[in-house]
Amino acid sequence: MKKSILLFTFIFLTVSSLAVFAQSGAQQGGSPDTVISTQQGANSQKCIDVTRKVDLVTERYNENQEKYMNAFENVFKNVEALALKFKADGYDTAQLEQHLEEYNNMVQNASRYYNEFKVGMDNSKKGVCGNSDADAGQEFNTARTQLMECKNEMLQLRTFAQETLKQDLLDLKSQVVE
Amino acid sequence: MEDKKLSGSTTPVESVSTPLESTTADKPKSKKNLIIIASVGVLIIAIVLAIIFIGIRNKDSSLSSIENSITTIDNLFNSTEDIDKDLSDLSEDFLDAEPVSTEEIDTSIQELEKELENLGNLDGDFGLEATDVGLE
Repeated sequence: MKKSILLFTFIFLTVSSLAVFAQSGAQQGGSPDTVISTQQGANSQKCIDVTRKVDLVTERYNENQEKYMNAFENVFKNVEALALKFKADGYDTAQLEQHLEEYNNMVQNASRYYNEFKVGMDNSKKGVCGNSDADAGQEFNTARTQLMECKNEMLQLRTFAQETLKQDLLDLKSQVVE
Repeated sequence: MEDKKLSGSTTPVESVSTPLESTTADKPKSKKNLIIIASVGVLIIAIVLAIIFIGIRNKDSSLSSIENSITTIDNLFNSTEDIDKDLSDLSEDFLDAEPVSTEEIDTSIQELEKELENLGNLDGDFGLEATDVGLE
């Protein structure tokens, strides 16, 4: 009888301690289901945050890029029309035309770089939100590189217009005055 | 005989009168020619002057259009001086950084609105009438 009571007590203590251990382990580490759901929640919050930030920043860059591209394209149209008019009048516009072509290529490059920046930002957003297999960090770095390329191209365009195209126009002016 | 003489004498007179008539008839002709030549000359000069004038105007117009294009380029140079700032690089930890919160801004705006409401009575609070100090 005593033996059976002892055995029963031993089994009870063993089962109870196992149950308590299991519960405390669950509280510390969390069950796999809880871990996944917490992680999903954090990811979706990060997705919301990143989406908001990327949209905000992209919108701001879009406005600036559009403003500058319009300015560069207006100069191209203006000088191109002038070159055609003077060419028709018999002046030598070969140099100006060649430089205009270079200028136009640079404008196209700046536009392409900016589009690639937008694609990169969009992909990094998708990567964070789990809508794509793309590595968000890598896509973001690509986007940053493209943005810098775009900016550098625009700075070069600015210098090119001020130094090269302007000099061509001054040369054309000398031709007219002669 | 006399008639003969007379008639004879008239004949040379007639013969003399013929070159005289021709010179008087030539005079208006040459005058006409002179007028025509002068008119043509004036016309040519007018045309030449018109061509020169149009040429000068075209030259001015051409120079003006070149000047306009140069001004456009100068304006572009000035209007694009902020490219570096407006297309500045994003921070490396952009994706991990704290999200942009508008809550703080909203709170500040609400506080500012409250302050402005309080300042609405400014005119009344600082109005001073003669009766206020017992002068009337």
